[in-house]
Amino acid sequence: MTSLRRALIALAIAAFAIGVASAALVLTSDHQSSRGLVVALILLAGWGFSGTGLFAWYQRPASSIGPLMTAIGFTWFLQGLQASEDSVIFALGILGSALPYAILIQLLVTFPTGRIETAFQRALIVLAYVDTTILQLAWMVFTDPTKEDGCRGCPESPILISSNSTLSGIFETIQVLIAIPAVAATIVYVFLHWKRSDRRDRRVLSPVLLTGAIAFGFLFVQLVLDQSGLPETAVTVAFIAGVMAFSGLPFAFLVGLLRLRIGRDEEIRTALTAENRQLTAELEAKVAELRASRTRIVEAGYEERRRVERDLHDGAQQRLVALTMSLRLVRGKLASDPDGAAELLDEAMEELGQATAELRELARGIHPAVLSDRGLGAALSGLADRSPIPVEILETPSQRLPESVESATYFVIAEALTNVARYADADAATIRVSRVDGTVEVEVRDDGVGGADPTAGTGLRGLEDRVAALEGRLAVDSPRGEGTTVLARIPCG
Amino acid sequence: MRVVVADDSTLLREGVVRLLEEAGLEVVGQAGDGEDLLRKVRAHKPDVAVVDVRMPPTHTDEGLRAAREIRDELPEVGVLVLSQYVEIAYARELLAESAEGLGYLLKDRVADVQALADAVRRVGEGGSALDPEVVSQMLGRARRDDPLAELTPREREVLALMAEGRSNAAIAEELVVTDRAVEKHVTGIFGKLDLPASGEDHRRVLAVLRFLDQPA
Repeated sequence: MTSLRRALIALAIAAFAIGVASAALVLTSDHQSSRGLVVALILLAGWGFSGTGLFAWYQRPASSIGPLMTAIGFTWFLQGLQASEDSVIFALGILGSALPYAILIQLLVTFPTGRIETAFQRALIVLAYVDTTILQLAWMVFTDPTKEDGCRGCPESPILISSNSTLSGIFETIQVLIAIPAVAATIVYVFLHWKRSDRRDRRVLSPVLLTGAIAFGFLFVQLVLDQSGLPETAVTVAFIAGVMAFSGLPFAFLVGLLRLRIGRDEEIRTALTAENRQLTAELEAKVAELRASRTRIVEAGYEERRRVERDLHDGAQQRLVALTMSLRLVRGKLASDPDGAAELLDEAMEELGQATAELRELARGIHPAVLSDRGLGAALSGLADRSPIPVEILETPSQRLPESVESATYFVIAEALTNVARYADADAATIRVSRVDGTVEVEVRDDGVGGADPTAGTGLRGLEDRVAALEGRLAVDSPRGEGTTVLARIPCG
Repeated sequence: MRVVVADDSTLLREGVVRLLEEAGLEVVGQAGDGEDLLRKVRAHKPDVAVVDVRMPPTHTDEGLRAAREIRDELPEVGVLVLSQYVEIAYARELLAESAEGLGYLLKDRVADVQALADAVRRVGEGGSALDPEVVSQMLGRARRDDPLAELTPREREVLALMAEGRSNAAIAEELVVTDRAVEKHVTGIFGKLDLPASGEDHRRVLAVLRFLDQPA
């Protein structure tokens, strides 16, 4: 059993005992009128508040709602002390009789969180406590209860300084003048709170608002009637009605709190749904990106084919056609003009040489044979050797990488070096390929002008897709004036 | 001079054979793959084996592997490797130990009958033949502090021909200058590049290549 639970059970037993004691006090009182009714009202509201308060406290230990409700219950029992023949106990009863209303105001304006959040809330609550404690005390020291209406046979007040009806009247008026707007403000505040809330919060607030409004409405009426000098019976009826509504309040709070719990379940459901929706959205975005990159890869394939076709058509093919014509001319000239024929043949040889050189470069661009034959090291040193700017190879893996990774690495570096030569205006570049924990890190760094935009050209985009197809990532860091670093991370077994 | 030719493309092989025979060389055997080549070389012990890099069954670097085997097993047989591509990496591999009796040429060179025959002869005589493309790639490599910057344009030309494996006489003929002038340039180059002066052509090639191939 937790210590909280033990404490709450102790409080429950105390509440029961105090209730019984309070009832016994009232029933045995000489001066108390309408004993049965008073006992019923005291027990109903007292046990109601302390019982529901302790339950709420147990359910939500972190919230101050439970303790506040319990406090109302306990202070409510203080009213029973007014029935005592002992002057001190009687005085305590008078002193504490208004306190539950102040606590109730705090409860109402902070429900359902129990937290004081605005200056208005704080001001209202402080005012309520001042009214029901300090001003109550001030009124008491100038008021002789034995001279009051309806308190015949009451004991002397031990804190009475002087029975001064003027001062007593002033303090009573101040108290009432504070209480009426405070009660009204509380009702308005709770109503506004309810109005501002969404449907779910209203479900929590509604029972409290309704019952609280009724209770405070009767209290309000009672306070006003009290001042207007209307017959006692009307005041008593309003008081009894108010207390009845007041007694219903703890159950209203409980209903509200229970609804809050249900609301919290709904909240969790809503949160889960939202998370689900977000995951779905992320998934959809990923699928869309995959689809886009797949399309780009396919298009890049077509584009590559078109380029190869164009290069073949414009290069080797044209040269071979020219060659055929040259050879035909040579054949015609062989007999008549041997020197001319020889010259034409030289031209034809030249043409052929160009055609083979072009075919060689084209083939290398499609796939460098040295890469599959000798691996990255050899292929990269070839790249570095052909680069128009000095390229230093800092590191290459000692072992061969999977073919697809090797190929992607090679083309990332080839494209990066092409970009360095074209745009970077660099003095030098470095290449580093290292294998760290199942990931290949490919880095090409130059000391050029920087400011490269990876989203601009198709070259880097194509590389990104190529790397992404292997579940890798490509990053370009290119601050203006500080060189460019292309970094690819490709997982490899 | 006796030659074995290995190439999986019959068309090309026949073409090379015809060119070599026309140039007065004797082709004693033809092979279509690495295994076949090794068999023929062991049987005929030719002066030179002309080897294509790519051959069956893997179509990757059969020729290079066969070439290394020949050089290990029969060092007296010169090897001239023909390749569709020029890769410095291949050249480095072939030249790792010695440039003696070794050639590495772009396949395109077969079109120049004279150059091909010259290369075969040089290799057959224990010299070297390196493709101008390899040499120009090495020479043209971008470097931070280029030591070649000190060379005159003429010295550069001489250096390139030297790296290809040409003798002073051949360089003189190519550049249409006197042998004496070439010797002067060579001395100048060796001095400027701080290379050990060396008489034999293949050692010269190796020295020059080692220098050119140093990391920048």
